[in-house]
This record gives sequence, structure tokens and C-alpha cells, in this order.
Amino acid sequence: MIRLSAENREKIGLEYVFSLMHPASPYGRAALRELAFYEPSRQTELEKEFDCIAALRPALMNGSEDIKRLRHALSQLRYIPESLKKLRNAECLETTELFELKSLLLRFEDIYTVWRRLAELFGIEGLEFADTEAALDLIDMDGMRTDGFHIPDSASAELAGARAQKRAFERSIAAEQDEEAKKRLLTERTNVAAKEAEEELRISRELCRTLSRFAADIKCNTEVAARIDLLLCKAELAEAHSGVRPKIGKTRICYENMINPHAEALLRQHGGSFTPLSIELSSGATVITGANMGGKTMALKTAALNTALCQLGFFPFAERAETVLVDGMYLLLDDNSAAERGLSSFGGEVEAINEAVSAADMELCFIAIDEPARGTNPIEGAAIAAAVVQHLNSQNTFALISTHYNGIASRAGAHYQIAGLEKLGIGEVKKLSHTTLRERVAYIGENMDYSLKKAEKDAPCPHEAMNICRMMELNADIIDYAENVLTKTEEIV
Amino acid sequence: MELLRPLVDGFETISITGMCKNAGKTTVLNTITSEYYGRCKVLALTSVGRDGEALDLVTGTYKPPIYVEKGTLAVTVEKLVPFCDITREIAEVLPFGTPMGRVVILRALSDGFVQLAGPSMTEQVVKLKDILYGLGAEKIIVDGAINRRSLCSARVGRGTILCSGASYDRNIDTVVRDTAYICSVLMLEETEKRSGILQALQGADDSVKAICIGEKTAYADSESLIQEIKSGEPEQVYIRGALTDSALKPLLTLGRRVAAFELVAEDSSRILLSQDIFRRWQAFGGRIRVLNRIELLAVTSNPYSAYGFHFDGKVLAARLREEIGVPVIDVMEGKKR
Repeated sequence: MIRLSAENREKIGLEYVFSLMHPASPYGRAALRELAFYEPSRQTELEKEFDCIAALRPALMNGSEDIKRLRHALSQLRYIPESLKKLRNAECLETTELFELKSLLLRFEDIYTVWRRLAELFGIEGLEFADTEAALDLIDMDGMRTDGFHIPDSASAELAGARAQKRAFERSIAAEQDEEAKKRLLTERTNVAAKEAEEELRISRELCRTLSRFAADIKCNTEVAARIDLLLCKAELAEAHSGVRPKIGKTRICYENMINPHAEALLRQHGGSFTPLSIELSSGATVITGANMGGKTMALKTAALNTALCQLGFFPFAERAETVLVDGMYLLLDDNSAAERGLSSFGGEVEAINEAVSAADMELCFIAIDEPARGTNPIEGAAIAAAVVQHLNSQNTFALISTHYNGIASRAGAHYQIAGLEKLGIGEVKKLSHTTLRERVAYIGENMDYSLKKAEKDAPCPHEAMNICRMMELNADIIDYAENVLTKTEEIV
Repeated sequence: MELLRPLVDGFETISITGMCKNAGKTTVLNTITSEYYGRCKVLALTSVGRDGEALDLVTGTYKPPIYVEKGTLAVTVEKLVPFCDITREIAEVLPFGTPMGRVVILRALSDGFVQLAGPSMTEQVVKLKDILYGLGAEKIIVDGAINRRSLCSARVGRGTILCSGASYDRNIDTVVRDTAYICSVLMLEETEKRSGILQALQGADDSVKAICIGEKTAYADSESLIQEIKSGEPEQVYIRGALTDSALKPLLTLGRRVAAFELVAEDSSRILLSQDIFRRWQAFGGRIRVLNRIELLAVTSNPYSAYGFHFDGKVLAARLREEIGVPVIDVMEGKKR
């Protein structure tokens, strides 16, 4: 079963995507909170979900009146899971609960009509409501279909009798001038009112007993309403952020020009834009290398986000997408709160890698590891990273690993590089004199090509750290010393 | 004889405010409903606390039940619905939660007794009013709770009735003096220059406590406000939020300079000054005005105390009349306790 921690959902931008959704009904909102991944065994259902999203997109684009009506009716649904539970057990509902149940059934009548029309028009299948009009007929005792709930005199002869008596007293009370006589009448009226209340309770009990056989249908309908509500949100998202229906296959996870809406929104705030990324993962390990600040982590997050979205029944944000349904997702995006478990960040990382690797032994997984073993010494770190890649590459799993270390990609099935500062010559970098950090970062942004390029497996990691240091205007002495050290190292090597 | 209907008839919303607990608010409410009986007017009744129960839950004293006519909309809470003996329709269940369940609007399909309880937050009361109008209410009566004068906010009800009586204090002089003071606050005049304030308020952020109109300068502390009053000589100073003793005391150091400008509060419910400070302000020639005036329709006097003593009803009413410029009504007159 796939489980993503809240921290990881936040990091990859999944929570942001959820925050863009505004289900109209309380049932839709509850369903969004409990959204579950489709297991590989439920591929047929997932395909149906995609069918529905695809079918609803044109309806949304046309700004159909029926969609507006549907959403309005959904927004009016009362959230009464507790009452429905009581009803299923044939317990007696309070009158306020009966009012809410009646309101729910009334709104469902509106929803059925609109939905039937929409489903037919756009060829949407598999989302049908059970007919609950008979339940509405029972609860709407005078058949007037008004919003209020009351038990009419016609419900029983006893009730009609008690109420007639009560009314007679009320008339006398209104006409009576003598305070003492009025008091006597009020007492007598109170006795009749008690009889009325008793009879109303009996009628309510009977009503709930009869209604209880509709409880399952009503609950099912709230679930269908929740699904439709979320489908509308998913279709809207696909429309707003250029989602695409993914192909579900067995052999590769592949995105062409994928984006991450959260990162995109943050970049837009500062006048930037998100560079679409393309990547293909085959079974085994795929490695990403590239400059610091080049977006390796973002590439990992974006691939993880879109893979998660596919399996949650959303259209991923890409121009073309193909995915594989996996049994587990493991995202190691940094030290994953190791300290809370009493581990150093390196210890925490080892623990998390072990967890992912053991899972990959047992089932088909999507694994993303951001710079494994980066926190330890570079010689051992590179060895560990290489070994992790080599091991994962031999598994039936989809692993995406970013690294700085050389000689790792050759052990993977495929190697991608961030284009980085390719277009910038070193001479140019030396002339910089930006005054603020913001300017420096912006300058790097302007010169950085964030796109992913397929590279040879043995292509060396781009050594752009020095360039970044220059662009960040690190102390000139330090840069000189570093260059010196580098030359000597090269001599040694 | 009709006591209250002629006074309240012109107002869509009326709030009933008490000087203290057991001041007779419920009696006033019952008087109004009985005076409207048979007049085919849809009344909507709500309370900012629980009301209508036979025994007061806090002090254990007797409280009159509320008897309504068929057609009335009564606001209550889920747990009190069974204690309302009207034949009823559940007209609405609102998401406002209270310790006794959500707020429920009942439509009376017969005459009978109800227990009122409604939201107490001003925002919710304002929303409730809209819903009640939507359900056909023609006149809304909001029963205030214990000494919550803030609930006579202009946004809740434009017309208000102030209930005073022996329950306030054993000493009749104190009752009369304090009631007269509250009336003078409730009767403060509306400023004639509203537009400048409304305009200045639009741009002001939450930290702004006072605005000098004319200069349109905003202040978060009294020291700079005093400086501005000295140098800028504003025509109006608008105080945001509650006008309290601690807010006004520093300004008293301005002495007679306070006579040169108008001090404006949102409405009377925001003025929480002690009598002493209020009088000292006036002694310097200071004027206090409100942005939105609440109409004080009447003061009711209840000579019976819930704590076992009572005044002579005629004396109390007469003494209040001497001090107060609006009708003073003894709603208990002719009624036995």
C-alpha cells in the first residue's frame, strides 16, 4: 500500500495541488482528506476515473449551466454521516436530524436530474445514483417538497386529535382576560401538548424504522456525490494546469515537459517561470547529475509528484505521460526528520534507504533518493551511492537518484543531466559585481538552463561548483586558493 | 393598554438590553409578543443567551416562559427543541455550534411556549438576521444576555429597549443614577460628519487605534495622538474599537483643548467609560459622538428584585422619568409576582 508522509506530500507539492481543489460539497471535502492511491489491482477503476475526467473537461470548458447547477446543489448538501449511521441501525432520529435528512434528499433530487443529463451528454458511465425518491416521499409527509420539516396532522388521527384540542385551548387562552383562569387553561394545554409530543415521537420512530431500509442507498449516494465533486475538481485542475491523461503501462514511467504547479507558482511570484522537464524511467535506476542550484531536487520532486498524481486518479501535469502502477512509493528528499528518531542525519538516511531497498525486494516501487550519502566523506559517500544505484538497478523497481558524485551514473540504467551553466564562459563570470544576494541569485537563474538532457552513462558530473561560487561572489582569495587546490588535485590524479 | 408596540412598531430589529440579570428582559419580550398577538406580523425571536427556561440556570431565580403566537419564528438550540411545546416546523439548522447543540430556527405552527437561545457573536447574529428575513420574518427581536450591552450594537438592532430595576442594586439612588448614565451613553448623538470617517476607515489597517480626521492620520498609541491633537488641531478624532477609561485618561491631560474636537466611537455599545471619566471629559467641554446611532426606545423599570426585596414601583418609575428623556415603563404594573 502506498503511504506518503505529510512532510513528503508537502515537499513534492502534492498538498499544494490539493489546496487548489475546492470541492463544493462537504462529502467531497471529506473524500479529499481521505484520498487513497489506486493499487495496481484497481487499474480498471483508475482507467474509468480517467475516462470521467476526460469526459468532464469539455463540459467545464463550455461553462455549462448544468455544471453550475450541479455544483450549487452539491454545495447545499448537508453533512450527516452520524444520522445516516443511526438510520442504518434503525435508531430514531431527532427532528432536527430529520430536517437535515429531508434537505439532503431534496437536494439529491436536483442532483439526479442534472447529473443524468450531463452523464448522457458527455457519455459518462459508472456513476449512478440510487433512486431515493421513495424515501423523500416518506419524510416529506405532506408532499409539499418545502425545505422545512414537520409532522402534519394527517400523520395520525391521534395527533390530529391532540392538536385540535391544543388549538382550542390556545383560542380560549387568547380570549381569557382573567389571569387565574388563564393559568388553569395553560396547565390543561400543557397536558395536551405532552400527549402531542408523545404521539410525534411514536410517528418519528415509525418513520425512521421505515426509512432505515433506504439508509444504505442514501449513504451510497453521498459517496457518488463526493466522487463527482472530486472529479469536477480534477477536471478543472487538468484544465488549469494542462494536465494530460496518462497511459498506464508496465515498462516505463515517462513524462514529456512535466511541470510542478507549486514550484511554478513560487517562481511566478518572483517573475520567473518553470522550465518543463522530460524524463523516462525504465525498470532499474536512473541517475540525475548536474550543477548546484540547477534543480536536481526539483526534477526528483516533480517526477514524484506526477507519479503520485497518476496513481491518485489525477491527470499529471505534462504534455505526455506514461506511468506504471506501483505498490509502494519511497521518497528520500532529505534527512527525513532523523533527529526525531534519535539518529544523526546520516543514520536516518541509511535507515530510510534500507526501508526503501527492502520494499523494492518485495514489490514494485517508485523510489526517489536525493543525493544519497551526501553527508559523509566523499570517498565512502561515493562508494555507498554507487552501490545503492547498482543494487536498485538490478531490481524490478523504478528508482530515480540524484548525485554529485562521479562514476555513479555508469552503474544506472540511464543518466540525465541538468543542462546547467553550459552557455556561460568562465571569463564572463569573473567580471561580476552584484550588490545583493537577490541580484546574484537572479543572475544565476538567468544563466542556468534547468532542463534535463539525456547523457551518456559515463559522462562526468559537470563541475560547476566553482562557477557558482564565482557567481555568488565568494571571497576572491578563497576562490584562488580553491583553484590552486584543484590544479594540484588534477596533477595528483 | 399597549405599552411597547407603539414604540417599537417602526423598527425592523429591536434589541432588549439589561442593566443586569433579572432586570425583566423576558417580561419585555413577552409584553411585545402579546401586544402583537393577532396582528398577522411574523415576529422572529432570538436570544444571545439561553432564555425562556422557568428557572434561571445561573442564579436559580424564577424566569417567565416565553409564549409565542402561531407563525412566529423562534431561534433555539438542538437540546432545547424538546422543551418548546409549540407544534413546530424545523425551518433551518445552522452550523453555529453552542454547548447545547447547533442553532435551530423553529416556525411555530401553533401558539405555545418556547425556550430561546441563539448565537451571541455579532457576526453570527447579523447572519442569522438575514436568514430570518429569508424565512419571512417581519420584525426581529433580540434578547440580550447578562449585562451585555455590547449586544445592542447598531449592527444587531437599530432600536433598543433598556431594562432596569431593583435587581441592579439595593439602593434606589444607585439604580437611578447608573440607569441614567447608561441612557446618556445610549442617547449620544450621531456625528454630522460621517463621510470623512468612513473614508478614512477604508484604508486603515488593524493596528490603527485612532484616526484624526482632517489630517487623516492614524495612530496606534496615545502619545503620538496627543501630539497630533496639540499641533494639528483636528476636527474629529475617531476611536476604533472600545472607548475605555484607559484610552481616554491620557487625553484628559489635554485639558480644555478637548473641547475643540469631536470624539467619535462606532456606536454606543463601544463606549465602556466609567461615569467618572465620562463626566470629567464633559467638564472640559469634550463632546462624544457616535458613527451609528442606536435608537433608545424606552426604559423599563422593574421594582421587583430576584433577590427578595423590592422598591415601590411608582417611585422607581417616577425617579427614572426625572432623569431620562425617553418613555419609562413599568412592565410589571398590574402583574403579580
